[in-house]
Amino acid sequence: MRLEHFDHRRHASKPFSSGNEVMDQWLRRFAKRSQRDSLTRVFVLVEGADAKVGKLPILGYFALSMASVEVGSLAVTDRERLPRYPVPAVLMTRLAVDNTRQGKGLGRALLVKAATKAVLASEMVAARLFVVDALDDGAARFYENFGFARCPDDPLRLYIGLQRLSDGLK
Amino acid sequence: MTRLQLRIRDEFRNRIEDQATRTGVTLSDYVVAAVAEKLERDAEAANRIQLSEESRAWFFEVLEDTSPLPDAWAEAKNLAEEIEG
Repeated sequence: MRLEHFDHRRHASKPFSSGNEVMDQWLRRFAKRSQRDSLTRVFVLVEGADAKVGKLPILGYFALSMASVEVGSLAVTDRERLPRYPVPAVLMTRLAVDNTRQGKGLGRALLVKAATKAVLASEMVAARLFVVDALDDGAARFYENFGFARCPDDPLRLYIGLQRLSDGLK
Repeated sequence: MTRLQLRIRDEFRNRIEDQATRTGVTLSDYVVAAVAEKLERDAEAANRIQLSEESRAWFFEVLEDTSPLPDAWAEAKNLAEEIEG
């Protein structure tokens, strides 16, 4: 299996079915434009050689973009702890695995791949947080198992420090 | 190029048209500019995360947490090694 940048000419988004319509529809209807407009980078998991006719089925995907995080107004002492503010972050807005491949650890593997890319991005352009959007409480608990912390303002958005990831993924 | 058709109230159309005239542009140009501006703002807002004052302590805890990653990452890394790229 391999991870590739989503290319609508080579990857078949229509048959993708994760069991969640929001995730499936986003891939089918918005991924191409979002990537073209550089709003997100979409990575798809595929296997097999390129077929001469037809497209490769997508086994899973995730989407990354840059974000910034602010918290109210900062005190002078807070600013000393934050050389750069707002705090730059890598945001993973979506992660999904096709029905036919669920239960085999691909979601966890894709999370590692996404986190690795976030760490790489932070080494190129500076970011301090990896933020993930969970679809529901079950997904949020999945991320909590990996050390992500739920935001008090939005329990379906979870955060982890990129330095912590970088140290742990080496 | 493509055409977009909208159904709106007469009075709303009149307001847009009046404003377009005052600005010295066509109705189409005015509407396109207004939508383009909203698109930009929405795109920016989607990736600008604003946390509340109440989240301040939590926010700093996360930023400054250097504890080792949970064991779940080690197993997941082994799975990820099966994937190229």
